Amino acid sequence: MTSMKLLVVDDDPMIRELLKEILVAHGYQDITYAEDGEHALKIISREATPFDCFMFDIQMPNMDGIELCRRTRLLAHYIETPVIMITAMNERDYIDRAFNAGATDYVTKPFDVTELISRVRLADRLQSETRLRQDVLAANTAQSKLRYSDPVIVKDVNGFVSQTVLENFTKTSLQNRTFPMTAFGIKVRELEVIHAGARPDEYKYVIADIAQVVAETLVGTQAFMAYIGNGRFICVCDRSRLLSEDELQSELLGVINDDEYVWCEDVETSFSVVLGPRVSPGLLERGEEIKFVARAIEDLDVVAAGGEVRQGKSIGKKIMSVFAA
Amino acid sequence: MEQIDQDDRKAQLLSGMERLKERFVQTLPEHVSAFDDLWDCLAEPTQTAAAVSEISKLAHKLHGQAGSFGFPRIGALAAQVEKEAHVLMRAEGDVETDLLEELMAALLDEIEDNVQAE
Repeated sequence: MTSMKLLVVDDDPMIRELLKEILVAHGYQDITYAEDGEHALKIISREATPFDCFMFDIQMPNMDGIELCRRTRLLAHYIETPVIMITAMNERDYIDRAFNAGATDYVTKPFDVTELISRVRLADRLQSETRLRQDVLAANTAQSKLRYSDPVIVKDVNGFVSQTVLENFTKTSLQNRTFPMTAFGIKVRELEVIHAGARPDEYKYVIADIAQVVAETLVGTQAFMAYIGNGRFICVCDRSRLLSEDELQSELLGVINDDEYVWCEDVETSFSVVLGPRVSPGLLERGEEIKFVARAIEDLDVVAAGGEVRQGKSIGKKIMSVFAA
Repeated sequence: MEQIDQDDRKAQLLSGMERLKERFVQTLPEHVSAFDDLWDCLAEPTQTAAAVSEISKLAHKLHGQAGSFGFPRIGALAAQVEKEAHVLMRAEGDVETDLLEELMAALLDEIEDNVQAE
């Protein structure tokens, strides 16, 4: 039995009943149901004990699930609450819009019970971790200052999500083969100086300013991005629409050093930009599809430390090396 | 004890799914009737656009339900109807509904076969 409190929103009563059967059979008992977005918002606003997880159907009459998700995210209590989107459609536009509106994950109808429950359990785990982190921060104000290594969730910048959401988006997009994907990291070393010398809020503002620059530089590439701590941003986007490395470096460096875009009241500094190598999903990584995102982060760390990234051999070279031996 | 709980829940889920499946099958004649009515409207130029939009909604609902209740072929055909309806909804001017009607015919045949078999 789990104590997670869920709100399920779907205009189809048969689907609501089906979800109830599946969720209750897997130990989720505290479930509220709504038949549309307006009804859901009323329930959310009047509920004394907040929900731990939402499941929103995307295609509903009047207010669709994406708009409902966007409005839910505006509520202070639900900035980080997991939102699982449900739809019969696998279209890229829906996926992009849902994640952009703040969705955490995505399941498709017809339901695969195992897949559905694994998504709900992941949301359960995420919510428990979030609550634990909030409890620690509330209990000890001395720890309320973020560490330099802590990730920061950037709000209100198009395409910026948490690392978990970025990984879910990447996985879904890969499964649906929506576009040729690449991942790369960006490191801004001076964030360490700002972290050390600026007020916590100011540190977050600077990260948000830099995030805005990154998002605007990558506009048109379907990019999803996250700030993952230690001055690092990770980006996943359509490699066919990406600027060359030199162009990207020069564009970022120029804008990031423009006071109009990035400004720190507490610490005066100019910024440098380290770009990590671009890493694409490996053909031999089936089942571990999002490993390339982790490799992009590792490669960024190597480059930022002044090292050289070991280039993997292509499949052709690997086969040839076997023959040569 | 935990194993017994899990077995109970699994049995409960299976019986719940079976109950929902029966209810779903009972709704299928209503779907057929609704599709038939909309089909008649397709031939009326003033009603074609509205009919295509309703067909899309109905097919969308059926697509989501059918696969989940153990009728993947109905779900797949409903998805094709929905997709074609979307193509027509985006088209400008007079639309050609032949393919949509062909797909609807295949869907309705499949529904009838399943209703008779159940």
